[in-house]
Amino acid sequence: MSHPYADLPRRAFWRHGTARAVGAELFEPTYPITRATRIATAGSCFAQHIARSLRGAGCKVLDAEPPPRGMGPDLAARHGYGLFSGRYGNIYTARQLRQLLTEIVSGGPEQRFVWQRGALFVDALRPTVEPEGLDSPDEVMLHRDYHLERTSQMLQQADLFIFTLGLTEAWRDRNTGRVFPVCPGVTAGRFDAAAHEFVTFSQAEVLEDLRAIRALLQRFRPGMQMLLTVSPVPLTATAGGAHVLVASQAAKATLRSAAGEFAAGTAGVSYFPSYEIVTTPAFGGPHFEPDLRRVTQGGVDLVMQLFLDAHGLESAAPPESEPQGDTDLQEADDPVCDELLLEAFAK
Amino acid sequence: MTLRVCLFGNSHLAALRQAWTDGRERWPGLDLTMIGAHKGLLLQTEITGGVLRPATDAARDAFARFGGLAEVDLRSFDAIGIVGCQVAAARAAFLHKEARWVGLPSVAACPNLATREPRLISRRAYVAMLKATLSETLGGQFATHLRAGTDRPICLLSQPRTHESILSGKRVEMRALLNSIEIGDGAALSDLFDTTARGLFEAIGVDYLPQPAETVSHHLLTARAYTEGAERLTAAGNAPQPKTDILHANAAYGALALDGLAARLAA
Repeated sequence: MSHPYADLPRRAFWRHGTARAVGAELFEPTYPITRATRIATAGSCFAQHIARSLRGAGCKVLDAEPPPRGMGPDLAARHGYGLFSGRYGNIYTARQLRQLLTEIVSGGPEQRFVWQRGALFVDALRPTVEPEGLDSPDEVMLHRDYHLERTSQMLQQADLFIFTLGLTEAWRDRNTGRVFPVCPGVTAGRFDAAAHEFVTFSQAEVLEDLRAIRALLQRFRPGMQMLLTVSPVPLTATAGGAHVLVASQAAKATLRSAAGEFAAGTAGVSYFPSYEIVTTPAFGGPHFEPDLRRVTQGGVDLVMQLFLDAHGLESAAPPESEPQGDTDLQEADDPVCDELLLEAFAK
Repeated sequence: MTLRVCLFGNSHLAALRQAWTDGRERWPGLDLTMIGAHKGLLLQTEITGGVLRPATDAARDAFARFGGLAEVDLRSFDAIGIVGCQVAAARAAFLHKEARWVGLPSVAACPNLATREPRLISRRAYVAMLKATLSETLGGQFATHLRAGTDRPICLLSQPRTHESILSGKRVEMRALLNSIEIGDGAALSDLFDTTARGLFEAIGVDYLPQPAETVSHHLLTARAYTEGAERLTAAGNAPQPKTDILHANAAYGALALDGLAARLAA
């Protein structure tokens, strides 16, 4: 008897694909990635792991603004260097990335989004890349111009753009619709209910943002491929009214759905299941630290091993001699996550 | 009142020793003991109960030859000095090679920074970088080591700046330093170096003494009058100045450095 399931590959069946064997068949690349592929990365905290692992595996991860020689790795990370392919900080939402790319394409900042931190000033669109701040709003804008120009140069070289979607919730400027990576007032600036509003992006809005992002990336380099992932890291906090766990699951479902739909319907775009690998028991997980939020190094390694194996690249060497249980070292390896700053406000 | 001061240092201690040997009567208020150790030997020491002891054969040898001491009872001194030990303005220039920040003359003169090789960073990021670099120097580490082992006042005397003879441009390894001067950033770098070093050492309870102002040339260099005839401390003892030396200062410099130390301790 013939039916649609009769000729499906083993990977399509839970019994064979998941309950007995997972891994190699989980992800089938739609385009090749080699060590010569010039890769750009952006996204939420989890994207920092991806960039680091790819570099560790010898892949060519572009860097628009490498730190100057003499700046140690810790200091560099504290200033937003080397975390992604640009010094744009964490990009949690598709809207944030879309707006960044639009800003670059349009030739520079149209509006000044500068927040005050004490007597100093920071770029509201990447408020943590200068941990102390700059001396004046004009200096902030000069740094932003520089950042946009360097990012533009980087994107013009990229063969592949890996974007890790993190959140659907954001705070935005009511007048312009510009979304911020963190709520005004948390790391800098001042929250003003008349000027700032909370938004939760729907699946349709995320999908539309992804389409716009794809189109914008093509303007930098026609043919640039896209690879989407969804961060498995839950929300630190939600302002939407629901329990944070419920809000997290809703956000991840929305992002997963949008990414999957977009990748399925767009040539040159693929989806890699980082979220699934970390969160499902099929891979021995969930792979979270005891705080149930940070992904374990083992989880990160597993994600990257599957990704690299799928592309015929050797797995990344394990991160330099991290003895298990060495809390200090593990914490030192934490991604720079400005969303975590919200925890300071948890009662 | 005469202050007993113990001066530790690397090869740059020779300038002060020359000055002291040539005319110690110039500093009637000082009674100096000098202990030199080249390279990182000063760090190969332990301090217990206020007594600093060499912890390796190489350090023991250096202490015996350049100080005539098997150990140093820090409690018997009124103050401790650290001379040179890589706390050098040239480090500020080498970090500047790939970094620029708002406020530098060269940045004000550059219309499009994004197309240039040196990166635009914040001044605070540069200062943090410089602090990290200075704290890793022999002087930075030894100051921390000493501070943990004694409650005596500690002064760190800056290493002399590089010789102004490099202005001839023949030393390719000094291109970064020369370039800093040529593009007009020398004054800013010199100021940032001294300010940063002062802040760094003050934070660990160590007094920082910059290079005597009259010996400085082109902000980041040492004037020829203070470098000609310099000796330096080597593993074999005081060595005469080779023609290629661009780092060490002479007795005239050493005298001014001791003047500064005496004034600071008297204050």
